[in-house]
Amino acid sequence: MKKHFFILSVSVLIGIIGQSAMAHHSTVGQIEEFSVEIEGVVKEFQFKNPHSWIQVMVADGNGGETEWSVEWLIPNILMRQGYNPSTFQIGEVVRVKLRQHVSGSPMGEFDGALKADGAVVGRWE
Amino acid sequence: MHNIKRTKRRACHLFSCLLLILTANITTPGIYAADQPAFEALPDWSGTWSRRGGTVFDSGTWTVNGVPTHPSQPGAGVSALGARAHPPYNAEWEAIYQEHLDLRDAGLFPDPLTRCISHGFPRIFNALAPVEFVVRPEQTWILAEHTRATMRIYTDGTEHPPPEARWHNFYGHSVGHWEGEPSAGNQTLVFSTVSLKSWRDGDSVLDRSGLVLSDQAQASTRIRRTEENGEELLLVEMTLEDPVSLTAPWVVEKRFYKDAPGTIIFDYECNEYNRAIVDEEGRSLILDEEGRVLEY
Repeated sequence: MKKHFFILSVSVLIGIIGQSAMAHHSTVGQIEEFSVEIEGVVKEFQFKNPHSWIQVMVADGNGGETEWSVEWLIPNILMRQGYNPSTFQIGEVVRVKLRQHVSGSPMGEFDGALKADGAVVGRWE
Repeated sequence: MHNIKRTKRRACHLFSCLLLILTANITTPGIYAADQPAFEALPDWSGTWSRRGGTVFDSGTWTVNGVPTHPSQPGAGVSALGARAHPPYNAEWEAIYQEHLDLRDAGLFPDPLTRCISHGFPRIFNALAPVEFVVRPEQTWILAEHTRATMRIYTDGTEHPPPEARWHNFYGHSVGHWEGEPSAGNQTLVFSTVSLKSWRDGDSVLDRSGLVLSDQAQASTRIRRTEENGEELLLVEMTLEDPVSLTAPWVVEKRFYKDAPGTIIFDYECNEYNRAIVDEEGRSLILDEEGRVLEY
């Protein structure tokens, strides 16, 4: 499947998520206030402590791909919310909303994901 | 005959060794056991308990992305519970605290937790995830999921080591006893904690605001089961004293509400996949998939 790279929108999702979102480390000044959206294929889902990471391969529009690192919550908390290591499958196509690192690097903090079958993970508004 | 004598000598030698070991145990402070309560007399604190009221003590200093905010504001992650408890610092330590708050607001406070260093005491009562309070006659164990924190409180008559023999560490040394009538089921665990390293080595803080005490800090803590608006909770009341940093005893409280039956505590190995580091300037930095630092 051809992968598409989208920075679809600057979301108006609640942007006031700072220190409390990542219990393990500070994100002061590092994370953009508003969400962006990407679409790509899950390369890895690291359901590990102290934070979960979703690696997403996104087409760059020039025939190449960019690997995005999307940081999510503590897996222990996710387990209690009903998520688990199978929440994301390697190879599945997802749209992901995240607040990007201010450096412009392809990484950020997870807000939510929309799967091909319409299933929502996290917050998708 | 010769073998019998040799066996007798060995037996006597073994008896002497045992006697020496027993004597050593009795005379070494902090080891011997005495007046521990009966198991049946202890309260039921089973299950898991989750804190409400914020991960900091001095909630009035809470900010979001460096901007002062009220604790109830979305994103702050704290409620009005546990209202501001600013420590009665002397001028020197108030200045240290203000410096830490400024560093925190700039994203430069080197929180030990970022390097997966455990909470320590009393930060264990600011832990993010559920906590268990395992009550036994000889000890009570406070087990926090986050950072796999374990705190032991001896209730078997153990005494604190003398000051010159204390090893100052993250959780210190806690001894206590039970107060209240067992029949009422609401006994209070009363304990004191000494031997804290606190901010001595710059790696044990009370919360993410950068609140710190000296290694001379001691705490008197009371924990009891109570009820509020129909909910069961364990109320933790602490009086912290520190002749180096505080001008008066500092009283704070934390509340742990009973989780739904069946709540599970999971494993937490902080170093399993830690992609956060702290640089020499105190900045928390994130590593990409290849281990490269993302500058900002």
